[in-house]
Amino acid sequence: MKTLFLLCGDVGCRGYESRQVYDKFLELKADWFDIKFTGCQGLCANGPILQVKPGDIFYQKVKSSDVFEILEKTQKNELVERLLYTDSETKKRYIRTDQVPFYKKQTKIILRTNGLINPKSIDDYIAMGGYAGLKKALTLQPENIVDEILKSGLRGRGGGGFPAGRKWEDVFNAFETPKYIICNGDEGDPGAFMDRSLMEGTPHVVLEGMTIAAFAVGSNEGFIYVRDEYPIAVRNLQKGIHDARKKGLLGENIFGSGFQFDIKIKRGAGAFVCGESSALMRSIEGKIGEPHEKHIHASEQGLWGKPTLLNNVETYANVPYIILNGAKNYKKMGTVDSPGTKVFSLVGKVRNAGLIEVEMGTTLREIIFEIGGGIVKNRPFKAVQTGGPSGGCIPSEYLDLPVDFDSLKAVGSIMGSGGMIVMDDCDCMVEVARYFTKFLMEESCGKCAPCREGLVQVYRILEGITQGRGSLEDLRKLKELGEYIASSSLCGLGRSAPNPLLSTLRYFEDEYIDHIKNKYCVAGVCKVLTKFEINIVKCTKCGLCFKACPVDAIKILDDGCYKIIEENCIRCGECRSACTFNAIRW
Amino acid sequence: MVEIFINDKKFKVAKNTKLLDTCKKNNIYIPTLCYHPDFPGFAGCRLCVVEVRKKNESKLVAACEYPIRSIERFYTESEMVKKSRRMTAKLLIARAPEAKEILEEIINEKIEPEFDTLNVQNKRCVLCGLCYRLCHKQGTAAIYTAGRGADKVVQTPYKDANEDCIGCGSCVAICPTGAIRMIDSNGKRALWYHQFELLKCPICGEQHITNQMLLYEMQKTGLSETELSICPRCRREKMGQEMLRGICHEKIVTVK
Repeated sequence: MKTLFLLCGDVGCRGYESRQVYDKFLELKADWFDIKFTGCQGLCANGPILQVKPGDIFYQKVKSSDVFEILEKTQKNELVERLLYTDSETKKRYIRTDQVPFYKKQTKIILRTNGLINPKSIDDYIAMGGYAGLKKALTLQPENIVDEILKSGLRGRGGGGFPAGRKWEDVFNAFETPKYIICNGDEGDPGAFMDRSLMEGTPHVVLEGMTIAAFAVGSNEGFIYVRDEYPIAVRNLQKGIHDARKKGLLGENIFGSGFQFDIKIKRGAGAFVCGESSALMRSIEGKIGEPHEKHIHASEQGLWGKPTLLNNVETYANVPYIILNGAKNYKKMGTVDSPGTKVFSLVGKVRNAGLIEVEMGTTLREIIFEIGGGIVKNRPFKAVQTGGPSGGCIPSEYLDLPVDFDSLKAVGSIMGSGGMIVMDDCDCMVEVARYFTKFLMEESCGKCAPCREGLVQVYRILEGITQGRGSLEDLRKLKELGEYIASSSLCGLGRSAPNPLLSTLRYFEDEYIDHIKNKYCVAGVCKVLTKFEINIVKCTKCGLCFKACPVDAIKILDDGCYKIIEENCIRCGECRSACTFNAIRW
Repeated sequence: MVEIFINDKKFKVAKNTKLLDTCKKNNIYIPTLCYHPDFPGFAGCRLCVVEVRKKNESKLVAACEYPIRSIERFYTESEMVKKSRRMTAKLLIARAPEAKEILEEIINEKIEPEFDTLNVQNKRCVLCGLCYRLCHKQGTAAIYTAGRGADKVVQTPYKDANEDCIGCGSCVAICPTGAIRMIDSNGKRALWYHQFELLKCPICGEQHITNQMLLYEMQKTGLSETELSICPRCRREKMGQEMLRGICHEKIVTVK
């Protein structure tokens, strides 16, 4: 039996030069092993990741210089100890992938094949049981498929959590033809890469899900709307569509059943608002991507005024599993109201940043501290921002909150498409609100007055507060503006845009007041309100801060101690992140 | 037919009627800015918001686009509605301080400016979108919005003279705040980076129509050049005379 090396070739690992590692493997190519350049394997922070089969050996931070040693030792059935995953606290080493704490708590349904197959190979996907769902679906009656999705309780993974089955039913019952299928792959949240990894790692699962949906609702034409900033996703999807057509899994007479369906890729030009369904459809039509009032659903009048089924990438990826395993089995996972699993991109100040898939109802604590491995440098946890830029910040008292659509909403955040940004005590919540408001202000389409004008004013006030120009009157204005934008805006983007502001105001009002009254930023982020100092008691005189300072504002005193010269300091916080003894105070 | 309540008064309306149309019909004033009956479906200004009250929750909807489908209670002058309208007006004034009077007129209230003025060039434009929607509706499509968010402006492509502009001035006429500049002088019309030559009315000699406009209208209506180059006032006069002549002629015929 041949040994199989699975090397992660997704964006994160490519950033760590996994391409060079792959080239090295090809250079040393021998008969006894195979090498695959796969989609995202999850633990992006420790890339490039390499798995060895059989044996499920898990290597991390692999460099091209390690390849020779890996090959040599694997042939002798030995391990390369230094490349194994090591817990930074207990110093324990893990050999097998499923033992690594990061993977242990995860339930992989959608990402089942991600990281195990070559995304460009349709045969790999079929070998892993791919397209079996479609084959089964084609033997069923369309109404039974719709019924199965309804029964499964699958909720739209794009953010709103609208029951997918109800959309399917509406389009199925729609009288007009033609009907269209759209897959929303316009993932624009900063710090989110779930849909991207899925489209890059397993493009066929999306195509399969869409084809099943098309058969169920009676459509012959589908679109995938992908942003052009995802070139690998576009390429892999194009290759996937091409291969599927060749194999008779797309196009005319799919599986010999006489059913006809084809998919086109539409590349988005990167406007965040085009992730909103009505704006997305305008964009496909070739018009300016601006949302419209949605009193008439897309299932009645969508693309070109025809009934349209629009779902997120991840929603479609759930479909083959549901069809194959039945709604009953699907409902066993997750919570009663939010069944199934959810993919999150866990980023920020967390040790094991990466792509994870967990059952709905997993608590934030499990996600951040068990899968994520806790906060970097053991700093205290402050908040987690879920749901992308228009999500809210959840403070530490809700760490035991089970993550599902409704419970997140109850604490003032949203599920969104699944971004999760972890923050520690070095993150200023006013600055976080300012940052996300700036993003949303720039991405607002400018059609309706509350979102266009309101966000600018919110941003101006927040900027003022972070620069020490705030007044208590500003807090009243912010609250008023936030509630106004949320109630009066036209589309979902506007209505959820004040979430970062309102949730930080709700949970971290003290910090706002600190900024305004005491002119002090507790996190040491807002430059005007911060002053860095070296705590002589804690300082070990190691000189790390001295080296890290980009403007030479740290001087060595005669007794070997270090001192920050305030006039030269630009308050970048580099010394603080360099110090391993928490000796820099602010 | 659906029964609804507007400000606790019962009304019966056909299903899918827009709420604004119902209100207008029944003389209930709702302020609008971006709404125009000929090109609906925009709902951008949010001045026409109305409260929909359900058992224990209220939400705001834009009356111009809200279809009436079931029994609902609407409030057009509640505190929530007024607060929202006031805020919209305040924010729009921060963009367009010179549009203060017209906004006060629309929402029937004095507005105290609360926010700092934005640094935009046009101090009158509130981005209601009437001008470019009209331009598209009439088929010329010379102007559209450029940029997004707060940087959005109504513009011709690349801020340059656009071949598609016929210099009709419809955008100027429809603008509620007078934000678009058009200058007619010395037989020339300046509009949207263009200098249009104005043609003379063959009867009175008034310069009233641009050459491009004339060609466009000939193409659209199929009328002759001489007919279209007559200015509106002379045309009315001419038509009146013709009608009069026709009536007289008829009389003469009947008398006989």
